[in-house]
Amino acid sequence: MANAVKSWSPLEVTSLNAAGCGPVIDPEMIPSTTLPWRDKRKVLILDDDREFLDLYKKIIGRLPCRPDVQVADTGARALALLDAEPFELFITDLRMPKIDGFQVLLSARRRFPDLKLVVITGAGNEQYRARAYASGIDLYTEKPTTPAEIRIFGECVEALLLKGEKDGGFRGIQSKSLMDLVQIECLSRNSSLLRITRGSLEGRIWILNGNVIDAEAGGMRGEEAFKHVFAWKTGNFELLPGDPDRERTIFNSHESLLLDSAQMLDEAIAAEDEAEQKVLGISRDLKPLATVRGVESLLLIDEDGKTSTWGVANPEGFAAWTHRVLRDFQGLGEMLKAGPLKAVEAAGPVRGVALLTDGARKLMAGMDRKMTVRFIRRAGMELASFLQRE
Amino acid sequence: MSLPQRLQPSEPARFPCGSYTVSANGSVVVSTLPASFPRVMMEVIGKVVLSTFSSARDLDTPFIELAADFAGVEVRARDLNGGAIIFITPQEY
Repeated sequence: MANAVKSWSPLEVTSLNAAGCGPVIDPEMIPSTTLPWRDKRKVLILDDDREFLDLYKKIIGRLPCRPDVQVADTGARALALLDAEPFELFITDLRMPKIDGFQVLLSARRRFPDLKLVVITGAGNEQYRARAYASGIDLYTEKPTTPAEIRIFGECVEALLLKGEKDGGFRGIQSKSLMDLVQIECLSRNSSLLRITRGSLEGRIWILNGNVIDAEAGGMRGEEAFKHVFAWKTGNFELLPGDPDRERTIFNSHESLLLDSAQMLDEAIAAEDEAEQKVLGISRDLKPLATVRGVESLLLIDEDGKTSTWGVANPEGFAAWTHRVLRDFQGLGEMLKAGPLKAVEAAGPVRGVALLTDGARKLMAGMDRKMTVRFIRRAGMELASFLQRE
Repeated sequence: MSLPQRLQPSEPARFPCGSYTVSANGSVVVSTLPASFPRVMMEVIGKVVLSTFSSARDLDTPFIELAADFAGVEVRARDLNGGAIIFITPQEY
């Protein structure tokens, strides 16, 4: 393993984005055994601009590998979709009104380490670019405006989608966590210097005959530095020759060090999850519902009258309205002997709405304003099936 | 074996197919529904529909179309400047 230079998260894309995105990969040149066309690659695009989403869905959907392209116009919906099914590539804008694209990127990188990330933005800003690459993205590009730029962008996306297949086993090493790397080095009783970089940050871990003997990062040394580096979720690593003369500052076994660090990381992740949910404003109960196409906001009133909401501007007002409308229509159904009320759907210039109840719980889903009552009904049926599953 | 009367499920009503319009104050203006469909029922449906349109407007969420799906009937309505046109379509129960 010594003298190897590898990446444990983002792919190196310099060969792709420089000088016209590098060589175009011809799918015909790749053996068919490495291209399981039947298992379509899934691509998710996030942007607040609907027209952009429609256009890029078409462009990417027509690439030679014919990926399955899904779109989201809010960060919360994108994260909900990523949670719901395995995507291979996530393309996002950085500037969106309700959510910071960086926040979505960081969340996606942390939660889905194998996911390839592409930033496509109208803001050609070097600081943005550096910050995006430090977040562990695979490609940063400005929104293409000419047919030639669109073609090149398509080729880059195609290349990224095919890259995992071409790299074969190497990608397995790339996706190893820092914990795996330290364990491999220690259990193999190797002597090496592990140099880890994350953007402008740098850390070093010295291993001698399978023992972690020293670490340095951010002006810290010893165990403190080791734990500091361990908290980085993405980055690049280099395995350099060990230094037998290095002064030993760490005397704990590597198992003990890793256990402590993993515990610390779990606690940090739990705290981040909580913070993230507060920021994104979506509870775990509502996440699957948010994946239904066209859903833009949710309000769920449980049997005890407790309300969970996501993206609802006036929760009290809409909770009372949901109660009243469902009660009125249920009363009307009883009077008419019309049988049980399945749903109430409404379409309007601001938003559409689907109202559902399973008797105990009441759900209001705010829907895309472009949806007709017929489409809202379809979404309502999907929402009802999620409610029944719980 | 028949169930005692009070335990039998209530028979859903059979609905005609047609439409009618209600004014902003809820009175029926014109109807294609058969005369057997009580006018008072049309007015009750109209009242619920108009109240839903109106309460949604109060929340800055105006609707142009509304549908309520019951097992036995679909009630669909379109806003007509404060009044509504209401479509009644029977469903397979």
